[in-house]
Amino acid sequence: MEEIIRFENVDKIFQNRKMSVTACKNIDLTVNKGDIFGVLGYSGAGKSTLIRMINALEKPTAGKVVVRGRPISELTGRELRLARKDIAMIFQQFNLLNSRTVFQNAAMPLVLNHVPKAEIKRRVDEILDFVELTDKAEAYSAKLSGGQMQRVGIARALTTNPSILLCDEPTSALDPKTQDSILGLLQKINRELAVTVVIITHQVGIVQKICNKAAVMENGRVVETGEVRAIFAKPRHPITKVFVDAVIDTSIPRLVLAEAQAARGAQRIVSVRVLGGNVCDTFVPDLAARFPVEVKTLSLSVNEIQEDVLSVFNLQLIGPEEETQKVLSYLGTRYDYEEIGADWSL
Amino acid sequence: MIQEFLKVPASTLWLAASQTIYMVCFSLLAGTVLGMALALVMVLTRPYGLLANRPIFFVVSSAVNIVRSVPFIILLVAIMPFTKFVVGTRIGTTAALVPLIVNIAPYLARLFENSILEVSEGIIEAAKSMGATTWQTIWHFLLPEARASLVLSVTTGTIGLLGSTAMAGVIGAGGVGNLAINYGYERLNMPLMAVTVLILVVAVQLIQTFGNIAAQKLRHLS
Ligand SMILES: Nc1ncnc2c1ncn2[C@@H]1O[C@H](COP(=O)(O)OP(=O)(O)OP(=O)(O)O)[C@@H](O)[C@H]1O
Ligand SMILES: [Mg+2]
Repeated sequence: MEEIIRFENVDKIFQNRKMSVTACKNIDLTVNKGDIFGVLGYSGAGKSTLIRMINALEKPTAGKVVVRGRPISELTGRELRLARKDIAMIFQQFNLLNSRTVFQNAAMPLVLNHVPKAEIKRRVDEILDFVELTDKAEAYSAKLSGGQMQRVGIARALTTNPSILLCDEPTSALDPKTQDSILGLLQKINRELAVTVVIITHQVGIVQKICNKAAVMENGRVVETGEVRAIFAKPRHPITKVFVDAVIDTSIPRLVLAEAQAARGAQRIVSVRVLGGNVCDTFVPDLAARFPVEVKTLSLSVNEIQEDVLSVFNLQLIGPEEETQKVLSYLGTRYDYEEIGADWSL
Repeated sequence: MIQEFLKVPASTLWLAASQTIYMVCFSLLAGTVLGMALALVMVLTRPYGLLANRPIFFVVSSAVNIVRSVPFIILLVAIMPFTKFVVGTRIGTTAALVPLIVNIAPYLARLFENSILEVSEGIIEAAKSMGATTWQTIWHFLLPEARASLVLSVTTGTIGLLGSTAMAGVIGAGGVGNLAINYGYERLNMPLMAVTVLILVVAVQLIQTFGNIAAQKLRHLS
């Protein structure tokens, strides 16, 4: 896979007279061509600073950022401006020109490039059609809905056929339904126009819906990165777990757990995450057939991630200690599991 | 009729009016150009500006402050040698243009600076991310976005100028305000005084209303 963006040991420290803030620390990250790369983190984690270093709106204090083989963090003047024309950006607050119509807003990057009028007309009509705003071409942006404004932002970003689209919280100002339509549009851009998308968000649901890769940030550091499927199947860092748990239900209803724990005899309660295909019906019978252990399902959640299925089985294993131990080692080699102790409470 | 009531020839009135209009229009035009140039320099060179440059910002901003802190009536007299150097004479309507411009340009510069700074940081960010040059950022982003506010600034400046022209009478510039002082106040011609004041009030109202309507139109919100 071809690499398109690379962070090499990047630090970003904001320094003013009174104090210094480390917004990004030791960032090593690679985004490949064709990715929809999510950067997930709470407010103040350093996400915006990170994405803004990709088009050099911020310059690293140490390390470098390489985009399409060129160290953008070291470019200046005309070279930097030209490099930026290939890296479009959309914003949470849209940042449209209120004094201009939808058409004029979308045309702006072309105007800056001194493209002839007729060519601008052709290209902008085409792109407005793509974002389904043809009927609003002559409207002033101040009178649009939030979703329409972001579509204009997207149209504006795409008019010059960039290879990268940076999105800083592109849907945070929108209602859930509009949010979905914008996410769908970003996906369409990625697939049909082969644009690499980097999207920043504090909403794990967005990563689950459209990203194939993701990085999780906390206090300026990337604490976890990789395939979204893998991250969801096996979140390692505590903060990643918190994010993933918000959309993947791993809980056992308190009553069910209490009842299971009250049962007499040797037993263990485990939570197993199984990624890949629908195994709802087959997983438990298969386990029961392999080991002389009684397997009871306490709860089960089935989730879609990146066109795959992630199932979380909360199981009660009843049987002799040495047999249940074998089940655990079997599970350990294949899946991500977590044992739920007697003092485990919700 | 006018003559009997106001006790001055109508031609005097017309002359005064045309002198005021001449002074306001000309110095407004020159002041706007100069003020805009100063405003852009300050916006660009201010800390965190697109071309941040502390020394230049400090010099321009201080110069603007210094000129603004001199009362117009003093400025009028103080820069007489400069006026003579520029237009060849110290007195008359044309001579008044110099101090008027020197007075209004820094004032407009501050108003314009504020108008341009009102444009959100996000707009500048968008311009940067598109790879716009500094000039393109000014021309295609800052000025269009600030234009409604700029129109209101010009409106405020015009009204200020109208007031200043009255004082320009000191150097023999004539004008409506001067008429009110010379004939109305000093010769106790109350009707003339009242009429000139009324004319000025109406002029200010018209200018402000026109400015407000233009700004509203430019905002595209109605
Ligand atoms: N220009 C700046 N000057 C000083 N400090 C800054 C600047 N920009 C960001 N910071 C600081 O850097 C840290 C990271 O900020 P950043 O905007 O990257 O976070 P974020 O993850 O995008 O948060 P949010 O979700 O709130 O947008 C914060 O502590 C912030 O206060
Ligand atoms: Mg942010």
